[in-house]
Amino acid sequence: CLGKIGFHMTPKISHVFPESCMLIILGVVIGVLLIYTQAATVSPLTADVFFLYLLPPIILDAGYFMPNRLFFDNLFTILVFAVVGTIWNALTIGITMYAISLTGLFGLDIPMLHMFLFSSLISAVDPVAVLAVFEEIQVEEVLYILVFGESLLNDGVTVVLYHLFEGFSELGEDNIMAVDIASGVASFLLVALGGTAIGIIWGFLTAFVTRLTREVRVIEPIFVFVMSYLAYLNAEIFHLSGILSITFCGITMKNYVEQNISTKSHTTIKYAMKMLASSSETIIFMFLGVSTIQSTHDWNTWFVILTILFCSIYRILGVLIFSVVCNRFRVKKIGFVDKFVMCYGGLRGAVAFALVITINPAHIPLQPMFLTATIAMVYFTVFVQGITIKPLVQLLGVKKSEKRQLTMNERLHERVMDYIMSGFEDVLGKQGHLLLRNKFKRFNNKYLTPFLVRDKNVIEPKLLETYSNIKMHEALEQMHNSYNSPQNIESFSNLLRNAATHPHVQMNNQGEWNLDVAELEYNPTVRDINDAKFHHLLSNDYKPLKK
Amino acid sequence: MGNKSSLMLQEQDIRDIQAETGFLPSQIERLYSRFTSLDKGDSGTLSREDFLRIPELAINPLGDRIVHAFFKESEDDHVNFRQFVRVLAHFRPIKKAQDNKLNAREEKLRFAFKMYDLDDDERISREELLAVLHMMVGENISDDQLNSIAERTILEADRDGDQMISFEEFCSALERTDVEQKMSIKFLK
Repeated sequence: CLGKIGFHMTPKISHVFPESCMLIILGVVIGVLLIYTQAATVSPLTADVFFLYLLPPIILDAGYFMPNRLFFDNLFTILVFAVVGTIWNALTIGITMYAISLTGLFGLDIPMLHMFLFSSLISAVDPVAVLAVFEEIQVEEVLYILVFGESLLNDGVTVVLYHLFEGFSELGEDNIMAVDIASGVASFLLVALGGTAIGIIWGFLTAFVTRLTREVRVIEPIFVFVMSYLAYLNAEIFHLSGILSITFCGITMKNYVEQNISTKSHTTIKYAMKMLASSSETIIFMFLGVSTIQSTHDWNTWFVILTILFCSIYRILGVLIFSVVCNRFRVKKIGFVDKFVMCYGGLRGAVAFALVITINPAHIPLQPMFLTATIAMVYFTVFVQGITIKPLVQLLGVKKSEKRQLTMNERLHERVMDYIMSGFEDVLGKQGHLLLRNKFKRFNNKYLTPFLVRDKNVIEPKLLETYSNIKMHEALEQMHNSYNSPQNIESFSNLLRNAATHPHVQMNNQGEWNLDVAELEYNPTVRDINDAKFHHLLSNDYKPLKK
Repeated sequence: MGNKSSLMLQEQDIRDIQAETGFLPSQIERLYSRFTSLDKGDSGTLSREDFLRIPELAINPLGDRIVHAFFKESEDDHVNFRQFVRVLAHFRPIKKAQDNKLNAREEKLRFAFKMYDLDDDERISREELLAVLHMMVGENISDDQLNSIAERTILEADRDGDQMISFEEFCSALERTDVEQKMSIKFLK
C-alpha cells in the first residue's frame, strides 16, 4: 500500500511504468530480501489463496460496475473472442510447440497432452492484468469492453480446457476416446452456463433481500458483498466457473440493488468494493514478484522464447480473423487501430500463474519449466506490453473515453432513438438485438422489477436518474460558487467578546451573566442570509416523488 | 411469395431505387419481399392497419409516431414500396465511400427531430416534448417530475431563448452522440 502511494507521488515514473510493473518489482525486491535475511518463508501465492480470497473482489468490482448496455450490445463479439478465440489460441500454440518439441529444439520430450495443458493455461487473457493496464490508458468504452469482456468470459473456457487436459494426461495418451472429447465439450457448456446461472440466481436473491432492508440500511452493503462471495463459492464447489458466477451476479444485482438501497449504502458499496479490489490487485502482483524468487525454476531458453513468440503471433492472427467474422454482424466495425489495441491488450497474468502452480509435478514432470515460461510470459506482457501500450495508444490516436455525465438532452433523445430503431427493426421483421433488449425490458418490468424492487418502479428509471444527478450536481456547484469570503464569519471568541459589551447582556437578578448567544440581538450576517436562501431554493426544488 | 416479388418489381424500378437510396439490388429485393408479406390485402400498398398488425410495433411506445413517419410522404394514406424504402433508407449505415443524401448524419437527426415535431413547425415545443415523454414513461412518474424534465431539456438546448428547440439546437445538443451508429440498421444483403 505504501508502495502504491509512493508510486503515485513520483509522476515522472508513472508516466512510463504502469502500476502493475512497480508492484511486481517491489514483490521481487521483497522476495530477494526475504531470501537474504532467511526470514520465515512467506508462503508463496498458493492457488487456494489466490482463487478463494484475492480474485473474487476484483471480479466483483468489475462485474458490478460494468456498463451493462455496452456489454450486452457487444456480447456476441465478446463471446466469439472469449470462447472461440481462446480455444484457437490454446490449440494453435499447443500444436506448434509440440511440433517444435519433436524437432528436439528444447532438448526434451514433451508429451502432447502436457503441451496442451500448458498452452491452454497460457492462452487466457487475464482480467486482472487487463484491468490494471487499461485503467492507466483509459481507452474508449467499446474497445475497453471488448478486451475486458473477453478476459472475463474466457475464464470458463480456460478452466474447462485446463481440467480437460489435466484429466486426459492422467489417463494417459492412449486411453482417450471420442467419448472423452465429447464429454469435454459438454463439460465446457456446463461449466460456463452453470456458473452464469448460479451467478444470476444469487444476483436475484441479493436484489430481493435488499428489497426488504428498508429498516436496516446499515447492513445493506454487507449483503451485497457476502452474497456475491457466496455465489462465487457456490459455483466453485460444483466445479463450475466461479468467475463467471460472480461477474453475472454483480451485473444482475446492480440493476435492482441500486434502486433499493440508500445513497449512503451506495457510496459505501462503491468505495469498499474499489478498496478491496485495489488491495487484492496489489497483493497479487506483489506475490507474483515474491514467487518468482521462491519457486523452483527450470529455465529453458528456447521454450520460453518460443512461447512468448507464438502467443503473440497467434493472438494477432486470432484477432485479425475473428474481427473479420464479427464485423460482418456489427454496425460499428472494429477498425485497424482497435484491432491493434486488442492484440496488444492480450495480457497474461495472475490467473495463468495460479493455474500453473496447481499443476501436480508428479503427473507432469515438466511443471517447473512450464512455471518459468509462464512467469516469463507474464513478465513480458505486463512489462513490455504494459509499458509500451501507453505511448503507442497516444501515437495511434486511439479514441479515449470521455468520462462525462450525460446531459438531459442526450439521455432523452438517445432513448427516443432506441425506440425508433427497435420500431424499425420490427417493421423489417428483423430479430435485432434491440428487439431482444426491448423484450427483456418488458419482461423485466412486468415480472421481475415489482418483485425485486421496493418502490413502485418507474419504466424509464435512467431518465429520472440522469435528471436528479444533474440537479444534484448543479445544486452543489451553486453552493460552492456562491460561498462568501470568510471575512464575515465571526469567530466564536469574537462573538463572546462582543457579547460581553453588548447592551443586552446584563447581569440578571441573581448576578449571573447571560451569555446565551442565541438571546443576543439577531444580527444575521450576509452568509446567514445566503444560507437561508439556498435552503429555501433547495427545498422548493426537491419535491419528493409522489407515490 | 418469392416468385411473386420478382414479377412485380421491375429492373428499372430497382435501378431507380438504388440510385435514390443507395441500397443494393439484393437488399431491395429483400425489402420488397418484406413489404409484400406485410401487405395482407395484396393491394400493393400498406395501410395503417398493416403496420399496426406487427405485434411488437403495437406495443412500442413510439409506435404511432413511427407509423406516422411512413405516412408523411403519401397523400392518400397508403404507402407504396418506393415510399417504404425511402423512409428505411435513412437508417442505412453510413459508409464513407457512398455519400448519399438520405442517410447522412443530418438526415438521421432530422428524422429523430420529426418524431417530436408533430405540427411541422420546425420547433419542438414543451408540449411536444411532454407528449413524447408521456408516451415513453407511462404512469409512474408524477406530472411535476415530467414537467421538470421537459423544462430542463429545453433549458439545456435552447440557445435563442424562445423556449423551444429548433433543429439546429437539436443537432448541437447531440453533437457528442454517435448518431451514425445509433440510428443505423444492418440491412442483410
